[in-house]
Amino acid sequence: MRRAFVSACAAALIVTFTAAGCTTSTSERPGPAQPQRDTAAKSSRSEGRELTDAERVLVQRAEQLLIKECMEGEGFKYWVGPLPTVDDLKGGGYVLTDADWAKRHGYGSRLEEKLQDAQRSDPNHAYANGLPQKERVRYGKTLEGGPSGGMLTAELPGGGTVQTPRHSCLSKAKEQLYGDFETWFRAEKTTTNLTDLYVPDLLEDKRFVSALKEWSACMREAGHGYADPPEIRAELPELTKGLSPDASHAVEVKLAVDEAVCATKTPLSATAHALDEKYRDELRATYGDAIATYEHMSLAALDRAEDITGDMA
Amino acid sequence: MRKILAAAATLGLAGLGVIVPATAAQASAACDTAWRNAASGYFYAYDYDSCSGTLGLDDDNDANWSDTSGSFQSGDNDDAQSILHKGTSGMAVKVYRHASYGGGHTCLKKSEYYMDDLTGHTYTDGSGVNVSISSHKWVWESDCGKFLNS
Repeated sequence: MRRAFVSACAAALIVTFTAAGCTTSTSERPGPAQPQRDTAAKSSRSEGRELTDAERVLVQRAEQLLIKECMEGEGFKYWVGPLPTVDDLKGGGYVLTDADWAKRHGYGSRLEEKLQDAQRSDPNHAYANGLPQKERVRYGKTLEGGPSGGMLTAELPGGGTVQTPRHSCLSKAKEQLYGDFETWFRAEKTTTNLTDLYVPDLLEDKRFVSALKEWSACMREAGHGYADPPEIRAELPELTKGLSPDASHAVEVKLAVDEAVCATKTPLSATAHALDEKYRDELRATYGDAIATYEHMSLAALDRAEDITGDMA
Repeated sequence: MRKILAAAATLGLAGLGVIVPATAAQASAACDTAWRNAASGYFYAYDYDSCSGTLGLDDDNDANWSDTSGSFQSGDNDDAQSILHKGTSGMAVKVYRHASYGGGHTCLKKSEYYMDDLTGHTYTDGSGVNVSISSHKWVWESDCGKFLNS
């Protein structure tokens, strides 16, 4: 009973916002004047594409600078970062295909530890948690917003909805970067949640299954008996249990390099990349508008991020 | 609204008022309150919908929710029905269907606040997220939603 009511509520919110002009298409939306529209138009002329990892880091840095400016404007302290390096953004996929990365980082355990330290020692946490209760609440509301300012709801392609506050320093920074926060929020939620829809099919695709068998045979020749890459990740804690940090890293690197080498020596890497693209392309029939909006807005944000980091750095 | 402070006190979460929703209309309101009172820099998981019945909170990773180490232990495995993210940095929390960050996964990004009912949410392997989280870790946002990334 309760679920039905919640779903109805979410649907009503979506209808309301759509009626107010929150479609995923930027070009036809009347809306208020966007000062950055020129840049968006310039970027949208070129072919859409995803940002490179280096570009993502730049956009993230610009976003942090804008948040800092906004928070300081409200009387709070704010520290930029932590920010990822390009190497930090790799390694989390189904299979490693970059042997050089694997040689440097194994499966990325040390990068993960570094990330953990950065997350735990983020000075913003200590600062926020050290504020008097009333100010702490105002801090949270200023940084991330609150329900009283209105919430945006996005439906995820695989099911479920997510919400975000309309007004906050975070949404303001995104608005400055992407041009329109509502449109960006919906497009981003759709585009970055498409994997649920096609990965199960991809994993069962006979071309993938056959490539995986070749990879597994290659691994066996290298001395590792694994049916697929997730099996290695699942077993890794057991394999490195009780070892010194250096010995543990060595075990990880050996396996990771062999995994990546086998992925490129056999058809696994090429097949996985080709199928990933093919299945995503098929989803364009349904989600093409959101994907195009996501790509164009990302490129427009990159243009602005270059200016912002140049001016504010 | 009735505050169940006893549960919060038992779990050592002084100051966290968990409000049990009387109706669905209060569902998000309960998560809003939980979010407002949550400590900065932490990920929370709950036994029930609407951020009620705190299973635990963590500013760290936990590779196995069914073992006896980390913030989430034994009975927490395959139990969470709502989750919340109060990190101030730009990281996301990736939750996994299996231990050791295995099986399908999904992300809760900073801008997404919380998921007040995991029913209907799916992992990358197509299975449901509700009462099915077995490990979690903090990741960069761009680590989410990709099948391959190298």
